[in-house]
Amino acid sequence: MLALFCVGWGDSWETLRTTAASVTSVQADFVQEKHLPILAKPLVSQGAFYYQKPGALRWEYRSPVQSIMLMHDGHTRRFVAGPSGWTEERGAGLEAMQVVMEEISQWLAGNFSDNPMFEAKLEPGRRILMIPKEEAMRQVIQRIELNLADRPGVMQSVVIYESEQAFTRMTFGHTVLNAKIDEALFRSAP
Amino acid sequence: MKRLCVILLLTILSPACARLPEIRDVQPAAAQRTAAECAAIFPKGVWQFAHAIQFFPPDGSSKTLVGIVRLSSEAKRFDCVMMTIEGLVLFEAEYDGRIKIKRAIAPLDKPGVAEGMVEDIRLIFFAPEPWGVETGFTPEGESICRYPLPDGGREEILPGGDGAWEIRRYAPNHRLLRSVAPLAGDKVPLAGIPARVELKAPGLAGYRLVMRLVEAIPIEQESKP
Repeated sequence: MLALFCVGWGDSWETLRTTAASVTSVQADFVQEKHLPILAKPLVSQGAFYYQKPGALRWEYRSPVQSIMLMHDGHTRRFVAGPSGWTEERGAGLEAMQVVMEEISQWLAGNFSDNPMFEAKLEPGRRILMIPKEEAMRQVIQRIELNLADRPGVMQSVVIYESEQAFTRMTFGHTVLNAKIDEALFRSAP
Repeated sequence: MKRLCVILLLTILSPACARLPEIRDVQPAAAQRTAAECAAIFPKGVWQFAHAIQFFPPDGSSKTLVGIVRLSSEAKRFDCVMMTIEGLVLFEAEYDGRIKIKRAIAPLDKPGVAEGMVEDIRLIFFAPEPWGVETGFTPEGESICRYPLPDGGREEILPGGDGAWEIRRYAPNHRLLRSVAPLAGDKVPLAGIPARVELKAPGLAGYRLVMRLVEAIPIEQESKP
């Protein structure tokens, strides 16, 4: 069934939505590179994420700092591993990350152009460019680039630009679509 | 009641007026050796450090951020970035004798936060100016260096042994403002840098930082900074 959408996947908002409609869950590993002008080499983090329609997301970093963000039933929580075990943390950018988590959840559901905060452009090569409409938001995030994989319903990478020299690149791998994910993964850490 | 008030007042004021313990002098050769040991706890050259920083405010909660410092010990300058674990930069600044803030997002945009962070970074990573340093032994027999600071305060370094050093920063009235010491870590120090360092800021609005070293990268001298 998915193969039918291969032709033209990522060519229009409509094909993106249609393809995403057949996806009920996504899980993948990711490698995150943080690039900053002061860094001699990027800071690399690794982890995995789990997404279940309509909006449950687990975003998990395994190194160098173990942390888990859970989005479930409209609530976002962050847990961080320390010498005395896992601790729930608030603040420290959690509100901003809640916005990002909700946005990622929308992308995984195939909704790229519905967010009123961003102007979304679909470019050749299965690339989606998202530019914040508000100047205040552009002070924090200049633009976001989403690169879709050849395989329908799969994201290859996301690049979040804070400036031309300061950006975060997330590259996804080992993506599994429509596998059954234990709901407990979205409710508790670890 | 009056007596109780006096006792309370004395209790509150006594640490503020306390004198720093006398330093027992040593022979010049030993003093030189101690001064070298005190300076040796700080990184030399140009380095990039990344730490996972656990911040413990007085309310009992904790917050974890990733801190990056790129410093030059010779130029006495550094760039620093504080970001969430997910990579969102909350604070970016450079210091070359003056603080230049490039980015500050809540909760790190409050007045005094930038200055406090820069002071903590200087305390942890940079040796104080050696002029006027007193070296010797504490009454407990530990080696010590005591440096006068431009604001009238003092910085003490106890080089310890086996990497068990301690830094103490005092206000002009000898009140302890900060202390820094390595924690017993589960990893071998990286390039002489402790795996975990704890900074304590005592007082009612005090806090505690536990910094776990994630990366220590020596940088070629000719590159920035």
